[in-house]
Amino acid sequence: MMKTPFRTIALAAGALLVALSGARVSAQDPTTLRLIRDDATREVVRSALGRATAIGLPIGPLISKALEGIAKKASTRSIRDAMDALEKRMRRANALLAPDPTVDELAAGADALYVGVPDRTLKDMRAVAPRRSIALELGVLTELVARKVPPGKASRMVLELMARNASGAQLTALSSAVQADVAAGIKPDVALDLRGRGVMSLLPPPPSAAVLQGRPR
Amino acid sequence: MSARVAACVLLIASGAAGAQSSRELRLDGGAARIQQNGRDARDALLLGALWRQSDPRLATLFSGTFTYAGDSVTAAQAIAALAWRPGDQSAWHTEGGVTGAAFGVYALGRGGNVSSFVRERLVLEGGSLWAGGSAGHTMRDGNSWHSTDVDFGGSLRSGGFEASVSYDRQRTDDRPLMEAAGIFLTDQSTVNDFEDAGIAAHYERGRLTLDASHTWRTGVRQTFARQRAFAWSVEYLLSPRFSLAVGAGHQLADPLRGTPDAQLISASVRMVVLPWRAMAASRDAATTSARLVPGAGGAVLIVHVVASDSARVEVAGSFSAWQSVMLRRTTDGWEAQVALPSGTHRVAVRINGGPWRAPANLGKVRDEFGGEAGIVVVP
Repeated sequence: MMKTPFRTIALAAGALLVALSGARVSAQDPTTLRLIRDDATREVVRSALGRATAIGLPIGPLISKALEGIAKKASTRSIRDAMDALEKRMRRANALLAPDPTVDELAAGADALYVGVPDRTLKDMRAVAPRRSIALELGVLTELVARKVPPGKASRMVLELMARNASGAQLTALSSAVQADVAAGIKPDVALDLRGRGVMSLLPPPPSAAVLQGRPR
Repeated sequence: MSARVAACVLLIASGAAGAQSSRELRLDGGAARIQQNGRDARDALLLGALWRQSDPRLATLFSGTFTYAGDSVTAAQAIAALAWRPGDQSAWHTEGGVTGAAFGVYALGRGGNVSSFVRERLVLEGGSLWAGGSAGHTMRDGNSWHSTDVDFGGSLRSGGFEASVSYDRQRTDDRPLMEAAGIFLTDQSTVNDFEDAGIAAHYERGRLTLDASHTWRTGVRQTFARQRAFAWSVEYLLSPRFSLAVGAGHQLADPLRGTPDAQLISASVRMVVLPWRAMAASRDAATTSARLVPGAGGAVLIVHVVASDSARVEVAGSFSAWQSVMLRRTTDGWEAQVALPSGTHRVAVRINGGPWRAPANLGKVRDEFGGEAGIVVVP
């Protein structure tokens, strides 16, 4: 049982959070919600943003998802389902990338989960880099899977490169090289093997193999 | 297909030239109901083939059509045409071609025709202007007839819509063809002079292409004529390889090509033989690409799309709050440059209001709305 002053402070903080949440959502009104001409869709989006804000999730990715649905002339129900699914993925990413993921990491993590990256990979990536943003690495991983590299294989390669301190530029260059190889007719997983080995040849060995013990098979 | 139509097809081929496909072979098959002036309607079989090859400076086209309706209307026509411009970015296009035909037309006798045309076209931002001339020679029942023509016109386009106006002044001594069409001369003259004023509209959206035209014909000097004709056609893309076309209308007598006045209604299936995706090329993401170049505070995404001059091409993505950004016409297609901050972005393009597609060279994901988007990561 909390002591009274702490309880009062907690309640006040909660009230402030709710008030601020509302302010953040309504702050989107003039810029974003006004783009939504359909009343029902606007209400669905407003409600989803309110829920996300209340539990501390970033609303930027949700707004983007809603606008994507509107641009693609999706039904209100499809937009609601897509926003709900994204919210769930961000909650998963929030847990997997604990303790303190950035907004960019949450968005990138949710994208990675959407394309089929295993939950375990996100945890392992956080373990490899606990004190810096891994949003870029998550983005490259998503991009590789989107290029039809099997998620497990892409996960292992990105984890190994992270363990060897590959730079963001090296990772994005790797993805571009895979793209070029795939365009030339090479199978995506073969292209990743070839290009990944090339990048790794330029890097020192990982400090410890322990960080890779839990990698997906 | 008249030489005028061939020139239009050639221009489309030329406009689409230079990137997605430099060659195309397609076949048409269908049926028509044809009613010549003063005759009973006849059913006809239509067969056609078209081959075109193009690069940024030269486009060539060969086309053959065959119309069969028992002994009433039978015709085979071939067209060879080219369009050339002196440089890749030159606004001046020179077009020319020849047609040849063999036909047996009820009441007008059997025979053949050869014709040629030349035209200079100035292609401007959002439209074009042209001027040209044609000459034709028709042989029928042991007699020969000659026709000449000068024409000029202009067109405007906006997105998937294009409208044009034209003026034709023709002279012919093919009196039987004209009289069969209800155009008569005074006894003092041996040649028909008349002028045609025309308007035409072309519209593409998604899988649909619509065309409509209206022509007014007026006799001049000793020729008595006051006619008008309206025609339309609709083509629907069934798949990347097949499309269905239906059309109807009135075709005025064309002394240059030796074709008679007739009412037509037709339906046909078109199949693209080479390349597989050529028909859908202007509407499909397979003709799109995107690449990143370094930029201040992130990168610049250059989106490139190969589509016809009249296409409406848009890009949208998470970077633009999914608001459309129009692509601008370049010498070899359509292009947009978008500044992207560091991070992961989704991007999609669409052509003529069709579905949003991922640029072909990007990693793509199925979205939650039945479409797709490309993934771009900016370091």
